[in-house]
Amino acid sequence: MAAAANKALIVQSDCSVLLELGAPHADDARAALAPFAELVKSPEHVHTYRLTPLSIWNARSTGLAAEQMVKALREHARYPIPSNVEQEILQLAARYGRVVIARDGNILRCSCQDHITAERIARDKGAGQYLTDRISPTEFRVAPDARGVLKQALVAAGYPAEDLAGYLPGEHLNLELRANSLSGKPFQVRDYQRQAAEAFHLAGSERGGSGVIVLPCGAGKTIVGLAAMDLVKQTTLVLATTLTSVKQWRRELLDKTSLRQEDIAEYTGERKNTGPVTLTTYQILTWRGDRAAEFPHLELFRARSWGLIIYDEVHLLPAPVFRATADLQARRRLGLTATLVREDGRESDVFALIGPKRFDVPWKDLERQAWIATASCIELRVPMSAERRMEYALAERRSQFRVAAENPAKMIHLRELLARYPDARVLVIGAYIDQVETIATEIGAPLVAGKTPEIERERIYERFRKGELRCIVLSKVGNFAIDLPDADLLIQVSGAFGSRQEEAQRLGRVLRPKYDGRAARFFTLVSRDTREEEFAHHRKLFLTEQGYSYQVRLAEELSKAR
Amino acid sequence: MRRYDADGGIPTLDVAVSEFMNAEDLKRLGALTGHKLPTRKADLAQVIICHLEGERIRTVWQTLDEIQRAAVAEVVYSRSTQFPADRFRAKYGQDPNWGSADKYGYGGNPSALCFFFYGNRIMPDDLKARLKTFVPPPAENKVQSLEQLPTVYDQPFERWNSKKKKQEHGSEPIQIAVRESERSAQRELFSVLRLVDAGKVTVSDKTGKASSATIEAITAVLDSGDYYPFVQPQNKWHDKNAGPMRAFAWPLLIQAGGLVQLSGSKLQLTRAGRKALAEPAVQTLKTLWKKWTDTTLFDELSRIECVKGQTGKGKHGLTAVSSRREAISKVLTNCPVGRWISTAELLRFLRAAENDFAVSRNPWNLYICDLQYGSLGYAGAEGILEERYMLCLLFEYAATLGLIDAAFIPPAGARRDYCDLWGTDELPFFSRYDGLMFFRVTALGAYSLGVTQSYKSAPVEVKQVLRVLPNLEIAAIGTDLELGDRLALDACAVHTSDLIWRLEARRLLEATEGGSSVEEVREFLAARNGAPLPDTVTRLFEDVGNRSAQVQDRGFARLIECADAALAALIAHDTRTRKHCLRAGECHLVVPAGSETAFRRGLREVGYLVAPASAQVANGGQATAAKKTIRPLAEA
Repeated sequence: MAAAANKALIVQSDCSVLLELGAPHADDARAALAPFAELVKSPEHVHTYRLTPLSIWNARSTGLAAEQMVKALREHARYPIPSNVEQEILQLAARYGRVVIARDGNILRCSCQDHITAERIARDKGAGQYLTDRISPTEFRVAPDARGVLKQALVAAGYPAEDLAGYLPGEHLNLELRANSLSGKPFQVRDYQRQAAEAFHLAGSERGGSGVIVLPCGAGKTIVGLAAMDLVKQTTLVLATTLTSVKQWRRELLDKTSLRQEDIAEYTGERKNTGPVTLTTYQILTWRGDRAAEFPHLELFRARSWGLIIYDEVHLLPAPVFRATADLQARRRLGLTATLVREDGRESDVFALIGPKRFDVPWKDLERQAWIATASCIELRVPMSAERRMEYALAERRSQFRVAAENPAKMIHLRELLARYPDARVLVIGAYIDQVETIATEIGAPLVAGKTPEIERERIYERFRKGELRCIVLSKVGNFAIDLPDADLLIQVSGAFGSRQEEAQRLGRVLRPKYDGRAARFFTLVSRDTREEEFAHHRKLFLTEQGYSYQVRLAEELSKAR
Repeated sequence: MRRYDADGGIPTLDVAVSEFMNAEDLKRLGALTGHKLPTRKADLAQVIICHLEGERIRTVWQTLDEIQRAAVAEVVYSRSTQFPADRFRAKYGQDPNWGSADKYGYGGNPSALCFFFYGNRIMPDDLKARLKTFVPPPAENKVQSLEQLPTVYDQPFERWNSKKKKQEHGSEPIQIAVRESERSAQRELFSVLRLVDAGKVTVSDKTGKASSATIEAITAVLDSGDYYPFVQPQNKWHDKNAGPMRAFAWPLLIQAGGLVQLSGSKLQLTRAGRKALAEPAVQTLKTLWKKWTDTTLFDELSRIECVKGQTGKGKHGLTAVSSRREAISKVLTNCPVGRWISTAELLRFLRAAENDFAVSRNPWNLYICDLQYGSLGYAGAEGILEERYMLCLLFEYAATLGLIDAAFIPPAGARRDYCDLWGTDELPFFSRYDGLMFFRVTALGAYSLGVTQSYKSAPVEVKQVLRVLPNLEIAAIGTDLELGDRLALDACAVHTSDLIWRLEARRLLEATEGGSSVEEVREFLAARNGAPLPDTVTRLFEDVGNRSAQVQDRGFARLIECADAALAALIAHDTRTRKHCLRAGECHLVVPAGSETAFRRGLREVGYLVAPASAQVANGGQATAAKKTIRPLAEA
């Protein structure tokens, strides 16, 4: 056993756990810790994990015992574990599995481990309302349609239910993964992708079939989805964020599976078809005529007997879809995301309604294995002219950010960057239409914005993929699900107010591994001595916490260096 | 009668034998010459004079034994003509042979040494001059030192065995603890200064002594705590705890050294203190010792609490503290660097040196328990004050500043020289410093005492206990994070969990406003970080550094309100006033305090004056009248 000073973990009384990467047995410590702790941030040298109720229940759902968790901590902790942490783990872990939801013919039975737990949840304001009929001192009958909301309420009450009620079988889907993709390239599901799909499926058992896979942008979450479909082999509904993403799913399905065009239907603003595999967007599902009306397109969930529902970018799942998902607990559900961090803090709903986290792998691990491109991030501080500074100074506080974001001097440095990397495949992303339009005109690159027709977008992306275009200017539409594997230089000229998600997603655009192994570069142009610096600071936090080296340079320095 | 008035010495041998000796004395001394002695006193005196005449004096000197010759040499090569009995005894461990004496110390037969000393053992000036031509100088006074420290100290004891019903004597081995202070002093200095910077050092505004809460806080930042950890006493009558020493000394040392100043009841860093935080500690420690030797802030004797009368009658008899410290400081300069010296040996050396010191000119007014019975003027108390004072200065102040390493045992029972004094039966020890048995002058001590001109010790080992992360977090990953480091982190970053701090521009700006500099913070982190500081952190420091210098305080100004915007514009543009004011808004002008007189003069030339505002602005119960209004002169 390593000496105390050499051990890698430091357990803090607030249930956070620091992992020092330089410690001799850091890898062992990480392997021991990761199953029951949530990776919060992973900057160089020290990673921070957090022991949360969800992380512990996630671990319990995979069969890990509380004693094993405590033992792992004791084995790798540099200092004695604070007693409250140990107690917290034991108590939280003990709650998982005290309540089990199982099928009993046509009804569901909610069984509690003991009388006290039964009384506790029966008297709980949230969960109690769904436990209508008491069969025995420790058992309740539950209406099948209350399965989701009951699970939600039980998580809120601190007694997560183990759902062993199983799934309704969907219609069979004749799907095989190709050994050679349609484009002619050999195709193989990577090990970690297969492991992720298998961790979700759990050989078709009742314990599997629902859960979330966490993989970094560019790591091939879509492929994990395809592998899961291959395992389940039932009709599938795929919920994506945007139309572009839908197109990407279609392209991947056709390219890498035996599905034909007619097997894949799209339920979008353009056309509303259903098929054995149906692709749709959150946007169309949550559309309604007026605020008081129902969501008519949520009926899609009942349009067929789906064997599998895939939620792409599950961290963005909108509230109405959550509600609809509560009614779909008898369907297999797979969530895909790069991060479980939700800005609205509804991680517990993801746990209760989609399922526990089944697979997670740190970004940097994949980078080391070259499954995603290595990336360097540079924040470039661009000075403002005297006139612009005065305009900034006199602007209303809420307008100052925009004045700074649209700093015309950024154009000069954008050109410099384009000249500095003449061979790079460039994406320029901005938050303001006026700004990106100006940039597109000035550098003579096509612009893809919200109003750009889908056909035109696809045409531009295709030209970029073929190498006919070197640079594309994108508005916010470029944040998600654009599959442009060859892009290796991303220049962000303006971003949303400190959104960590946006920064990470944008970086994800250039993280697809390059055929020649070259590194990706992410420049973000920020006006110096303005509020944009503050917001940029928040945005970059996420990336530094993911372990990306983040440099801050003054634009003049970079110009001089050139 | 002159024989009783020898304060100015005895000029000649003639005077000595005629004025300072009676016939009986002369007869007994004359008997040593071997001549037939006359009966008249004048003739007897002549016999003595003749015996020492010319080269005969050398013959007489040659009859002296080694110690007697040393006694002669000590006086011959001394500034005084008085034989220094105590000093001689301390140096040679014995008295010279003065001959036999009766039981009262009088009469008897003198030895040949008495040919050279008369009256109260004074050497006549002319004799001294003649002796100096052939008497070699006395042996140099040397301090005995040890290469290796004994691991145990054989502590003598004397106790009543209630079973055997008899008094037992003997000795028992006591483990000697060693505190090497050279590096710890440097670390502790920073820790204490940071504690001050954090506003956690409270002292009495009258005495400068730290409060008990402060002493606890300082004890917590000391390397391995204070010398003697607190042990819960069996009962209040048997409390053998020595109490705080370094924790007590540090607030006084930094006050005396001018590194801190009192603000209310709390200490705050002065400019020198802040500078000291950014510089190597060695020079600061040297300065602190120098300033401590001169300070009148505190008399260490007051720490020997069983000695009463220090603030009453005995106060007037106390010698100047600076003279005592100077004497001890001087004797330390003669101690070999890096070798252990027992405190008893140092005391001997001090007494044998010519610059011995006294704590009180009149120890009769200092006492234990009772002035009448317990006075320290009685026999048996000689030197006890000086010894304890020396121990206090060495243990509590010199060792705290890293001048010496200390080897010590628990104070209770360590010294028994006070046990015969009246009123000491209940004392567990005479002073809390009784346990200091050995010390060793460090290289830093030699530098601070002026023995060496430079100090080239290894730099203070700064433990790399932190990890500064690119997401601006600081993780305390090391096992040795000191409280001082924690305080420094608290001052410049936000404490987010047990071992995590987060750097924030706002907190750094606050720290800068409080007197720290971003550069200090950067150096602090860089020294403790196991790797170069991440780029994001470096940039944050640069940003904060730049921003903290962009807005400057240019002093106070007066806000002047004009009746209307046109008047404000007129004054702001008039050649006689525009140099002295700035426009602030439509109707207001700002006049820097330094330009106020010139502005008023110019304003009068323009034809206006500044009238006091009719309505004063009340703010929190305190009225301020900074705002003035301008009225035409005619109206005024």
